[in-house]
Amino acid sequence: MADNPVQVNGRPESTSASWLERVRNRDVQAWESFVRLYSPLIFYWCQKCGLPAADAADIGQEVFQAVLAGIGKFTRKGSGSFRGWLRVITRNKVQDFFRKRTKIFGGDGDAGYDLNSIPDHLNSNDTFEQDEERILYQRAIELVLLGYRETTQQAFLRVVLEREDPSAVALDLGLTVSAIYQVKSRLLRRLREEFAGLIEADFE
Amino acid sequence: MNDSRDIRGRSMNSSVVELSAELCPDIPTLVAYQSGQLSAPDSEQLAGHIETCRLCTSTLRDLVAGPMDPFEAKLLRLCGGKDSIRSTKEPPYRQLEARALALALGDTLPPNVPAGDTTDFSLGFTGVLGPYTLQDVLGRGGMGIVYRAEHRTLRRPVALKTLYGGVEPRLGSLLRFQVEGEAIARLDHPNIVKVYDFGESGDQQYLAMELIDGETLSKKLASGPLECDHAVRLVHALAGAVGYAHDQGVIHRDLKPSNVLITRDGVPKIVDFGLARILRDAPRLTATDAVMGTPNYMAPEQADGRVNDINEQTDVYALGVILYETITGGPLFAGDNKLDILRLVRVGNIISPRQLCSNVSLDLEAICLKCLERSQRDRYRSAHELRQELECVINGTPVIAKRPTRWQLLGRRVRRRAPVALAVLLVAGCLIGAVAAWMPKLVVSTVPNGESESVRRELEAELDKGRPATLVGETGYPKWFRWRAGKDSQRTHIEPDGTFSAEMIRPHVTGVLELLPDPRTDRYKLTAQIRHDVGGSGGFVGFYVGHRSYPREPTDIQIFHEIRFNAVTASAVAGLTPPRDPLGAKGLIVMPKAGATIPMALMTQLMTDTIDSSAMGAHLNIEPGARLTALGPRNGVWFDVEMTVTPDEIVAQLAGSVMRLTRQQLTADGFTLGRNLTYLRVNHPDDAVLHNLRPEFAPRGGAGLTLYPNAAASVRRVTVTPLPVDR
Repeated sequence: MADNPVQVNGRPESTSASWLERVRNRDVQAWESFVRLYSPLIFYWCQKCGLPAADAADIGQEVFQAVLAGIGKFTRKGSGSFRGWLRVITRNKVQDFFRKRTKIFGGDGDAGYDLNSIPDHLNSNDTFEQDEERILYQRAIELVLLGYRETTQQAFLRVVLEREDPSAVALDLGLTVSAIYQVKSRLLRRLREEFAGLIEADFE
Repeated sequence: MNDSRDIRGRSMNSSVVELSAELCPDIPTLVAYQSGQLSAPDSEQLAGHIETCRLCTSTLRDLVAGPMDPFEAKLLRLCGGKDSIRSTKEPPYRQLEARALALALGDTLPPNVPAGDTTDFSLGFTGVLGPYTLQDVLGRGGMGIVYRAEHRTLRRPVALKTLYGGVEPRLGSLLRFQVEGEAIARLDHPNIVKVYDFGESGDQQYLAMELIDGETLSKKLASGPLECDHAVRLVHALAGAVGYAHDQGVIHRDLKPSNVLITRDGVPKIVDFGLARILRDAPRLTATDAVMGTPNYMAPEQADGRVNDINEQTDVYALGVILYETITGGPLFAGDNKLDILRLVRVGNIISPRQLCSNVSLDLEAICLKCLERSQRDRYRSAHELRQELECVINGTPVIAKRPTRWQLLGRRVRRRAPVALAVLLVAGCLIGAVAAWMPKLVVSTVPNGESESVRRELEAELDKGRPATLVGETGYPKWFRWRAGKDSQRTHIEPDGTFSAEMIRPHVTGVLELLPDPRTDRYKLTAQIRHDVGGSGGFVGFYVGHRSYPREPTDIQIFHEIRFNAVTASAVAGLTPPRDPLGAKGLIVMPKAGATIPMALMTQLMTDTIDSSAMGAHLNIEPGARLTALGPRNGVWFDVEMTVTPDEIVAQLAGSVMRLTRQQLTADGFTLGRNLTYLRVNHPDDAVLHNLRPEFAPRGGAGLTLYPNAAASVRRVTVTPLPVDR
């Protein structure tokens, strides 16, 4: 597991398990991190299926309700990624929604809601997985940056995501080089500890 | 890596990072540091060293420029490049996120999908109906589906309305369908949607109408009331069209904003003239009146089921409701469910439009109320008469409704002062519907101005003498009141039993009704009785004390301590079972199970009186009490509430449950959910007031009633009693 980011110095952080545990124990902070991290992705899935933004909020609420209801039941026996589980829940909720709509509006005459195309949209493939990961990591970075000063945010974005030379960034922002390394270290650590596990979470 | 050598050849065990000014970390440790893989304490310690160590700094420079660790590489691959991360204040998923966050707090925000949309009736879609080719679904009404369609031979585009799929055709209704259909098809007026054709194909009845490019009035009103001038012109045009149809012998029977289309050029056009009557005999339709949609626009004679009394004045009433809603922007009656609204229609307790919208002129209010009279003979005799009156308003000439209606208003006020007698009258009126002479006239509540300086001084004088002050008596309005939040989204009235009732009429808006600005002492007891009349799963009601405002633009931050409960609706949230320790020190909160009861709670609330992006709200702490069984709307149960406030604690009692928040819990550091405050600060980074806020417990502060969105409650016997110091 050379590229498993949650393994640090041989110590598995097992963030997924601890996160699941925390939500099971009704830890509001764990719940909020989860909601804030995954809302953009669920919204994205809904849009992929052709749901209007207004309906996405309804579906989103149902998905999160289902997570709340279902997470306690999860046995360690089940396998597969947490994201996959969430994707299935979302797809089911969207399908329910369209089924209801189809009943009301009748058949395939309702352009824009193509029931048959939904499973394909949400079936996983490589590009799709990459899009999902991008959305999650972008959100995670946003969340980690929240609350930091503008210069700190700039330092992180420029050094890590634009690969600029730390010395040049330091000079530009009026910081010391060691402060730049500190920002990089601290924010990467928070990304790993608070979100990477949640993004990569698997049911073992 | 356990036995690696650092750059100066010293051996070091990297799993135990020991650092001192003299001892530099080995390279793997520096690698782990700069890619964020060390624990927080190790990182901070190491950061301190690096700041003063030029060697480590230069080693880091080489390491940062060197190969990336896989996690960092992944971030770069996924999110690299300029502007990949941009925090927008209003991302499209904001609403989704907000609703999901609320789930954990046991509140569901009202969903967007109207409840009616789940009605289960389907239609086989064939693409062809009679001579028409169906092209697109335009919408769904109470009676069927509306398609965009085209007449195949005439090439005429039409709006084709199917009238209820799968209804057994019966001779009677078919005949009626044809006879009345002809009358309807003859209507030809610029403000009536032209009906081209009635027909049936198989067992599917349909009608083809003029295709209008525009939106419904109901959709237009969703964004707020119309200017009074605009509303008058609109209803004037509608009244003209309705009068014309009446002259042709056709009564609409189902006039409502969703049956008024506004073309792109702004011309209003009424649809579905007379359809309600044609469909009266359709078997499934009348069996469930609810399918027909909202009873909001029904006249009292329809709500009473007095079918034979339905006439032109029934349409006049509906025009009055449309006028009312276009000028006030809110519904004439707001209720939890259809039966509730029907009850309100029958009682006819209307808030006068000027109370809701001060722009409304006396004349316009008089005209509106004359349309809405309970008794048909007190309304305008015809839609033409209404049209002429509105014409007078447009031209600025005197209207006839004015004088008599004002006399009636005077009479109504007298009735309001004798509420018990009124209640008897109303009950009699409802029960003996046939005895028309006993029918009470329209009841108009005139909301008193609650902010009387002299009354407030009287209340305070009593408290200063150590005597109890009665804020709300056995019946009637509070002695003194003002809305600290939700002023534009509330209405108040006197219930048939004479008690004061307040309700919130818009989603997302919470009401804070202050009944006393200052108890004049820091030791006092508030006692009250409250009846929770209406409320969804988030529709709590309660009492608060210790209200403080922190000035801020555009609206103040308000903090208060409230005892809140929901006796109407059990939670609809599917959630986790309540924890054994419902509220640990870590701020765990109760998540109700599906269909579970909602616990009452004593809590500190932070909120603002806005619904835009500057709005904020959070619980700062919460002390749950017993769970209340949902009693349903209009349950009639009065709850005794008692809040005892001293500088040391707040103790609240409701339905035998005692909840307590101590001074320690009521200070900034003691807030069990202080993290909520942190979240608010993160979400409102530019809000200086919020960032400097150090909320402290002040027992002396405003006291009153809180009402969450779409909740209604009646209150009585609200008293504040100063407590002796030695208590």
